[in-house]
Amino acid sequence: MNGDLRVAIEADADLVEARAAARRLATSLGFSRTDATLIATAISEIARNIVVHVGRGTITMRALVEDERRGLQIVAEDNGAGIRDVEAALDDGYAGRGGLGLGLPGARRLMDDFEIDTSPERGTRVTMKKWRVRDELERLRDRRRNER
Amino acid sequence: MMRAQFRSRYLAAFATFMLDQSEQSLRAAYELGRDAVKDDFSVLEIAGAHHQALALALAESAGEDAPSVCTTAGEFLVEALAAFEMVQRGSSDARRAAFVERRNARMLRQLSALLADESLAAGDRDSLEEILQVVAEHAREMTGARAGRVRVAVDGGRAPWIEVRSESGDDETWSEVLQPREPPAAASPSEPSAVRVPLLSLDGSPLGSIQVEDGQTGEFSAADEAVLTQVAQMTAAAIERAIAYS
Repeated sequence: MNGDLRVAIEADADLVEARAAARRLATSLGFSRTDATLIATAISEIARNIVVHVGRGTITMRALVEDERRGLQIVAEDNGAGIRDVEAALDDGYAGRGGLGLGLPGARRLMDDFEIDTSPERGTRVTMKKWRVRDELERLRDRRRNER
Repeated sequence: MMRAQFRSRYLAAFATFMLDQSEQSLRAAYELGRDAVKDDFSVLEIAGAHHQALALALAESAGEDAPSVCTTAGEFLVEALAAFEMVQRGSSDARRAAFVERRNARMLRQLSALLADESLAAGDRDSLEEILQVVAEHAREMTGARAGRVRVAVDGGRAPWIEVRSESGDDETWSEVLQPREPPAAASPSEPSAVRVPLLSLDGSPLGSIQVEDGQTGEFSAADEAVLTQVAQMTAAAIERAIAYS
């Protein structure tokens, strides 16, 4: 279906391109406008993280095609020094640091799956996915189309 | 950012989006909402700014394409509210976590008071069963489990074991006292839906165990295990005290 879409994130302006690409892909996968906005929001937050903490990185998007659902996978990678304490980075500090729930923890809540792989040698890779369940009617139409 | 400044930024960004409908303008809407969150503005502030911007746009269009103006304006509004949505999800999580913590702190205090009660220190079998019953119920409730069980070997494993099970169904809870002949099998990793913590005496020798099974929200968390460990420490001390009196 769709190949990987890769956007280099080097400056704040690159966020716009990543958001637009994600929105297009989300729409082509049948996500609602609202979901597309949530996906664009999650991308903005992780891209901002890259720009602020590391300076540069990439965001790669991919369509996930399964019979019962469609998904959009976003992988954000950088070659920075890694996140020392992932648990703390994902804790938005309602208790202590006066965090607001933006940033990584915010992005995590907007998506269905969220994983962080980080080390000082390899940098950080955030993989997040949003899923959309396909109903019976949609699958039926698909099968009919394929039969023709 | 002052409120007046926020409003004029909103009006300007909105007007730009109505002209170009670009991702750049949508991003501006998102950033406005994000700044509003950071500056602790109310979501009502966005509602006010949006209403003013929309009224201006409708006046300019002289009502000709009002439906399409409203649709486009709606796209801008959704972007402006996205940061609020993100934070709202976070505060619901935080509220739930705080509720559980408060409830557990209250129950730990309650359990601690119950276990310290002198009537439980009689050292006979009845008072030991009573201790176990109170513990099984609290352990089950604090971890949101459907079943909790506490097993104790009274005399270094030579005497029969005492086991108290506490279970909760849809509307009712009940508990029973059993006398298994065998010590419990070692906690098996094939039971991810159960957590067991040991009851250890002061010198580290095993007294028994507390186990919860079948969590109402799926698997048990590290926080559940931590709570259970605290309960186990209190319980072990109470059992030792009770045995010492006997």
